[in-house]
Amino acid sequence: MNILRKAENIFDKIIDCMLTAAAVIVVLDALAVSTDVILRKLIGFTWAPLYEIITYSLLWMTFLGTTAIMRRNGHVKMDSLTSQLSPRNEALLNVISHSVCILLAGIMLFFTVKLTIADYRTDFILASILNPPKWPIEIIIPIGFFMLFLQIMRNTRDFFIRYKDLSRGEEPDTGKQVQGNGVSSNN
Amino acid sequence: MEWYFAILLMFGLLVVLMGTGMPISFAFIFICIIGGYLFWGGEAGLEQLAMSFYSSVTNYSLLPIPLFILMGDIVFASGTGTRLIDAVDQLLGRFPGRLSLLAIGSGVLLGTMIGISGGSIGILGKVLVPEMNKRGYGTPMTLGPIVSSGTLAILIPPSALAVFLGAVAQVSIGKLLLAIIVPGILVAFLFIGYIIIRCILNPALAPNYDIPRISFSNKLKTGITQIAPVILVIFAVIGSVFTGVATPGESAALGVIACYILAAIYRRLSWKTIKLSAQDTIHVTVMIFFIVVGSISFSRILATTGAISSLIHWATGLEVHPIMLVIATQIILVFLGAFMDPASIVMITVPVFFPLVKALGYDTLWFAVISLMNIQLGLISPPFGMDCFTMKAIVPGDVTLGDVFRSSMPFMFLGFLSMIMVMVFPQIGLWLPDLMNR
Repeated sequence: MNILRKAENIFDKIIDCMLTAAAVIVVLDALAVSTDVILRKLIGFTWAPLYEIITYSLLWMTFLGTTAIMRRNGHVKMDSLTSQLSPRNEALLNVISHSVCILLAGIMLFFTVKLTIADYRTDFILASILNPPKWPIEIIIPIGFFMLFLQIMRNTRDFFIRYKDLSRGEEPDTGKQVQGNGVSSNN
Repeated sequence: MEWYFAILLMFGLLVVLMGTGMPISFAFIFICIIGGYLFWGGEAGLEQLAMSFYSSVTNYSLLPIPLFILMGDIVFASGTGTRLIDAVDQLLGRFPGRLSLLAIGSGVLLGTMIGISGGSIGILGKVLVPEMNKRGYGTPMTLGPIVSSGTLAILIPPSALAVFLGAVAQVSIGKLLLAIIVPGILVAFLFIGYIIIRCILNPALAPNYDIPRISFSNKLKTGITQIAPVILVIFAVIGSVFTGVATPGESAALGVIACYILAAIYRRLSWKTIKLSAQDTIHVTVMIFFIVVGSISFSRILATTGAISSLIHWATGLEVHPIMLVIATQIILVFLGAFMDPASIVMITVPVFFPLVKALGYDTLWFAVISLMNIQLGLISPPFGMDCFTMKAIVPGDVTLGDVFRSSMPFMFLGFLSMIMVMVFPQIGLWLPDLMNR
């Protein structure tokens, strides 16, 4: 049990590091692009590969941050219908829908790993200014799906515990609950 | 497979999955896996899907989204927003419904720095609601103006949703950001007019109170020290695009730097501010981008089935005036707006609506403006308007969600009125982008 808890703590720390890395990327993007604009207007200098690097950074930002969002159950969802159900049935539906999400993350993990390995083996080069190999850029997708896969399993487990507690007529232990954000989105 | 069956299968399944409370991004991925397998040739289709995930977000036109969101988060984390409200408060004279007008005025000003709806509601709600209660303001003049001012953030650049819509619909993002300015100001003026008229007709809704006299020199000082620096942000975001100095992505980056400078001028810039704002930005950005990951592939699969071209062929063959089809699209948006969040609405409707409108011969920029105006109204419309939920979470417990929705209703109708005005007079939206072209 202790080993599992330790493993979860390490997993949480990895997620935090990934989130911090994504946050650093967004600030660096802003600094780099604005510096480029200012330099272009002042001395006519521009570093052309910057825009290519920025597009790759958007991919990394997305897959570095996605597990942290899943941890707080923060991916946008339409819970207007499920919130009408009893807490027990809502927890059961969450168990089912998140089990499906595990399967989906698993399928995508498999195919993105396959794609990345194929690109590594064939030494696939991107046709662009920098001509980089594709696999170091796209490797964040399987990493992201792998982390997501594990995190959704944790969420499903927590929903299941909640469902069991509610079935026994007990108030669920708040420490075990998945942090819900209530209603769907913030944008 | 018949085109209508393909549409029914894909959209029907999507709605069912969303209804189960599955994260929307995963609902899209589910459909993509089924669709990819059926329409893209089995296992090869799933490999194609994996490739499509890569190309969906490695798209430079999406850059303004995280940066516009970051601008807003810097404003929150640094406390710049509260300072601006205080400054507008000092400048505003004695008007009927003064604090309600302050909410709209501050909403417009915050809208020039905040790229997402709901953000300014948090600041305005916390600062103004206690003051309005103290002054005896009625619920319609307390909650309505604050909730509706949040929607202005979508209609006044920077607007993350406008960038998102432009990127997905392949409409010029720079032009779209300019095209929403005049409609946004129009909406703000309608709100202001309504507040003044309603408070004159029923003064009990917003009782007059004594305001401390502030000398002209002090007002001038407030204007120069507190409000004028905001012009730096406005120029960085809107001016740089309008003058052609920067692309929307570059203007967003300049906007971020301008917000950092503004926070530094107000002595509110710290490492904590930078860290908190960046982390909050990632939360919202990733939420949006992960929907993009699933939904771009969804659009591609939908296009492969031939369903969209068949739908357009069918719709353009109908013996109705084309404007009726445009109105029908807007009615669907109103309906979806009552239940879904804006990003999901954009991703579901754009692949169908924009090719249709283009085939009908209408300007897609104009259609993007009215769609955006419509979608933002969903945020304050019952039964699931997100901004109303945000407002409810801020105000004291004795205010019900029904009170919030009732207060937002007149503003929602004014929003619809302005949308109809832009539909009838497209130049309201197209005038400014046309000016840029000259």
